[in-house]
Amino acid sequence: MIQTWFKIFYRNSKKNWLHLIINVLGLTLGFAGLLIVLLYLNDEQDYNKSNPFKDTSYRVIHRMSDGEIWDTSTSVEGQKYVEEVPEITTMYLSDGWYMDWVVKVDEKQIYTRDMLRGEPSFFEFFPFEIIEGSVKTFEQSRNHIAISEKQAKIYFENESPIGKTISIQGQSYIVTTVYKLEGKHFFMPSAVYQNKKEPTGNWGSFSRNLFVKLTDEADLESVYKKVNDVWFRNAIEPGAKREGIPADEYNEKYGTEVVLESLSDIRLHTIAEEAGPEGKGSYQLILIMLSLSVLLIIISCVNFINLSIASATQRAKEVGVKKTLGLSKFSLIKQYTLEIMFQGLIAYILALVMVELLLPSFNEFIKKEITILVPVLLSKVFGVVVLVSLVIGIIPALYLSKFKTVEVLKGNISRSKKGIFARNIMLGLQFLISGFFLVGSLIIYQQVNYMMNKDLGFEGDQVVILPMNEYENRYQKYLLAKKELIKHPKIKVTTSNSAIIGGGSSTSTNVMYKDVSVQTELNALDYEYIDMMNIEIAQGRNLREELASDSTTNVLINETLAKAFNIYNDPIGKKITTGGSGDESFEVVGVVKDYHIGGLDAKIPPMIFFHWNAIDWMKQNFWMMQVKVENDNISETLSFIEDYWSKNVEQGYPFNPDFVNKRFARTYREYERQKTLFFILTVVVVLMSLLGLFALATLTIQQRLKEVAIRKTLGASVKEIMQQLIKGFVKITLIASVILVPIAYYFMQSWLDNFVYRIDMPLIPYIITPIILSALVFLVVGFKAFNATKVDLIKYLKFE
Amino acid sequence: MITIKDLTKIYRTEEVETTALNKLNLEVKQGEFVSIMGASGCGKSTLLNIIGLLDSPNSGSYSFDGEEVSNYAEKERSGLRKANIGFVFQNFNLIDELTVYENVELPLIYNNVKSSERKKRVLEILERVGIAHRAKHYPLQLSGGQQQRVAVARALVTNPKLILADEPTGNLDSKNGNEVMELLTELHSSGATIVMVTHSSYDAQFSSRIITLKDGIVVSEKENEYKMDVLVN
Repeated sequence: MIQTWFKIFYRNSKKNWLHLIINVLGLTLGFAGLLIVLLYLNDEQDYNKSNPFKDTSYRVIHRMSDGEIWDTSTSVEGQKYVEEVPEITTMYLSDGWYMDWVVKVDEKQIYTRDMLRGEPSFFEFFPFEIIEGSVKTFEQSRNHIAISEKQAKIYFENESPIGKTISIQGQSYIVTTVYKLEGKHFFMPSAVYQNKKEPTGNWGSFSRNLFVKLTDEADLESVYKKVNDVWFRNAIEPGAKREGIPADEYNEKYGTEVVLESLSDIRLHTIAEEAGPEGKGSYQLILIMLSLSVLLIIISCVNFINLSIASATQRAKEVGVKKTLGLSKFSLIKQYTLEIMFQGLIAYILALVMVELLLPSFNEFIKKEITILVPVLLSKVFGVVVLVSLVIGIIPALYLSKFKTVEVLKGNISRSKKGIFARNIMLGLQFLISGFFLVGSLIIYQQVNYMMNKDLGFEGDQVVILPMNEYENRYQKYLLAKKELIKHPKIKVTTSNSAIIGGGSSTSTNVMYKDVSVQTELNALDYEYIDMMNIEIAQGRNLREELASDSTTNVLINETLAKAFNIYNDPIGKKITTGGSGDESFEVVGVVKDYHIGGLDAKIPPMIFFHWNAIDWMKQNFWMMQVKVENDNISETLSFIEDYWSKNVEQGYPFNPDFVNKRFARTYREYERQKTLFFILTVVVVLMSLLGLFALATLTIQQRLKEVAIRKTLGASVKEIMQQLIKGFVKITLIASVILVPIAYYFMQSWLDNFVYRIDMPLIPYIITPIILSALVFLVVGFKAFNATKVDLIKYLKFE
Repeated sequence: MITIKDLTKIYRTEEVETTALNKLNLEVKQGEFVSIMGASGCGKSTLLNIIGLLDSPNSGSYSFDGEEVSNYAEKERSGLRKANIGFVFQNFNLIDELTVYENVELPLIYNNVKSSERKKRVLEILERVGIAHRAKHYPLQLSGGQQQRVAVARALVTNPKLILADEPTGNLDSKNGNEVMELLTELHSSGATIVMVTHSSYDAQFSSRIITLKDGIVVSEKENEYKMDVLVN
C-alpha cells in the first residue's frame, strides 16, 4: 500500500513540481525562522541557568529620585545589609567590570583581558568547578588570586599554578585556586583577584557592583522593606542633617530607592541599562521575533492549504476512482495526510540545512556563538513540524474526501464559497505585513542615510585615537609623546581632550552663571584640539598657548550652554563658576559652535572647554591621545607610532589605534544593524506573501476557469478576462495599503523618536509601497490569469 | 451563410490519432434550422465547435457569411464570435455569481453596447423568453428549464446571425425540453439561423433539415416537411 501511495505522490509531484516547491519552500522559511529565534532565546536563557544560587542571589541597584535606574551601588551599603537584615546572609562587592592589564608572571609580561577585582566572597555567588586548590584558601587572604583553567595554561603552561605569584599593577597575588568556566554566567572572568583593603567610601558615590544572597525562605517583600530602611537611616538621615532640612523632604528631593534584581532574571529582564560585563539580552526583541516567526508559519500553512486545495481539484479523479474501489474515507484522509507529513519532513530537513548555513553569519551579526546542536530544541521544533503537517494535511484531506464519488468521476466539482472571505483576509494580512516591512525598511534606510551624511560640526578625517591603559603618570607620558611624535614628517598634530568624539567616559558637573545652574559636560583639552577637529568658533576666540590665563581661568562654552545661560548674544567676558559650591571661577572667552559628540540619538550636551591645567583633577580622566596624520602611507605612520608607543608609553599592551570617524560611526552601528535586519525580514516576508499570492491566485483562478471559458465564448478579450481575474486581488492590495498607513505611521514615528536628530516622516514610502505591492500582484496574478485565458474552451464548456 | 468544404479535424495524443471530421462538406443557408445527429463520437460536437469558432480545423475551408475563417487567429475568431454567434449549451453554462440580468447583459458589455441601450435590450429579451420576473435571481435559484431560457436569452441578446445549440434539452425533462424547443422554433420562424446538435430525433423534428454524421462524414441529409405543422401546434 505504501508503495502505491508513494508512486502516486511521486507522479503527482512531478506533474505539480512548482506547487511542491512553493509549499515546501514556504514551510522551510517558517521552520527555519522559528528555529533560529528559539536557538537565540535558548542561548539567552542559558545565562546563570546552571548557577545553583540563581534564585537566592540578587543584584542591588538603585532608582534615583528622577526615576533613572543606576545599575551600580555604593561600596559601603552591602556590609550594612548583611549586619542589619537577618535574611541577607552574605554579599559580593566588585568593580562590576573587567579590567585588562599587563601582568607580571615569572618575569614575563602577559597582557590579560577580563580580570575581575572584588571581595573574597566571589565563589559563594558563582560556585565554579574548582580544578586545583580550594575556595577556602582563596578567601583566607586578600593577597590571593583565582584564575581560570584557560588562563592557567597561558601563564604556566603545564606547571601547577598553585603558590605562584602574579603581579598586577605593582601588587603581588598568590595563586590559590584554579576554576573551570562552564556554561554562561553573569561574570566569566579570566581571573578573580581581590581588593587589598576593606572597601571604603560614602553613601553618595555609586561605582560598584553588589550582589547579596538571601536565605531560602526569605520573603522578598520584607527584605526589600528592610534594605530600604537601612538606606534611609544611613544615607537619607545624615544627608538631611547636613542640608538642615527634615529627612522626608530630603528623601523626596534626593531620595534613592534600593531595588533587588534576581540573578535568574537579570540577563533578559533587567530594568537597568546594563546587565554586567557579559551583556544583556533583549527579551522584547526575542518576543517580537518569536511572534513574527509564528506568524510566518501560520501564513505558510494557509498558503499551503490554499495551494493543496487548488491542486486537489486536479486529483479529484484519483479520489473518485479510489472511492469506487472501496477505499474508506478514513484511509483517504490518512493517505493524504501522510503525503503532507512527508513534505513537512522535507521542509524540516531543509530548514535544518538552511539554519546551519545561516548560523555563521547570524552569529557574526549578533556577536554570539550559537550552534544548532541543541537536541531538546530540535525535537521541540520537530514536534511543531508534525503538528503543523497534521493540520495542513487534514484540512485539504477532509475537503478532498468529501468529493461525491459520482460527481467527481463526471468531473463535476462544486466550488466552495465558504472560506473565500477568510482566505482574502489572510492574503490581506500578508500584504499588510509585507507593506509594513517595506515602509519600515525605506524609512530606516532614509534615517540611517541621513545620519551618515549629516554635518556633524567636526571633521575627523585622519585623526587617530591612541588609548592608554595604565593609570600611572599618564599625563606626563602624554606630554612626552606629544613632543616626540610631532617630529615625524607625516604627523601633523598631536593633542588630546577628555570628552572624546564618539562617546566614552564623560564627566559632568554643575556650572553656574549668576543663579542659573546647568549640569554641564566637562571637556578638558590641549590647545590644538579644536583646530585639529575643524570645530568652529562661533564667537570670541580659541584658547591660546601664549596667554597664561588661557591655561588657568579662561574657558570656552558651546552654543547650547550659552543659550542655557541666556548669554548667547553677549557671552564674552561673562564669569561662570563650577562645582556647585562656586569655589572655582572662570571667564568665557569664546563660544564653540555645537558639534556632535555622542550619536545622533543623543542631544548635544551643554559643554565647557578648558585646558587640562585649568582643572587639575581632570587629568585623572585622561584616556586617549589624538594625532592627525597625513593621508598617504597611513599604515607606515601607524607602525612608527606603534613602535614608539610600545617602547616608551605602554609596554606589553596591545596597540589599538582607532579613527575618530570610525568611532563616531559606531554610535549608529546599532541602527545599521536594525537596517540590515529589517531588510532581511522584508525580503523574507515579501517572498512569503508572494508565495501566498501565488497560491491563492492559483486556487481562485482554478475555480473560475469555467467562468473564464464562458466569458471567452461570449467574446471577452484577453484583456477583459485578465481584468476580471486581477480585480479582486488589487482590491485586497489597496485595502491593505490603506490600513497599513496608520499602523506603519505609528510604529515608525516612535522609532524615529529615538533620534534627537531625525528626518521628518517621509511620505514617499507610503506611496511606493502600494505601487510595489500592486506591481507584484499584477506580475503574479497576471501570469496566472494570462495562462487562464489560454484555457481549453471546449473542455470546460462541455463537461463541467 | 455557412459553407464547409473538405473539413478535417484530427485529435492527436502521444500515441493515438483520432479523426473526428473527415473531409466533411456542409452548407447552411440563411434562415435555416439544421439539426445534426449521430452516435457518440461521430464528430457532431467537433463540427459545432468549429462552426462556432471555438475550435479550428486541421484542413479544409470554412466560410462564414462569405468570409473564409478557417485560418483566423484567436483574436479575430473572438471578434467574429461575439458579434455574430449565440451559444446555447446542454449544461447552460451560466455564471453562478452573476444574476440572470447580469448574465444576459454580459455579451452586450463585450460588444461595447451603451449602458442605457443594454438595459433596454436585456429587459426586452428577458420578456421575450418569459423570464423577466426572475431578473434579479441567481442561476442556482432557478429550475433547469428557466436556466436554459436565460441561456437562450443570452444567446439572442446580441441579435446574432447564427445560433448554435449543443443538446439544448439534454439536461431537461420533457416538459421543460419542449418549452425550449418551442422557443427555438419561434426564433426560427422569426428569421434566425439555427444549428443544433442533438441525440433526440424528437427534437430534430422541430428543425427544417436533419443531417446525420458517422465517423466524421455526412451520411444522410433529410428535409423536414412537417416543420410548419409543428409550429402550428
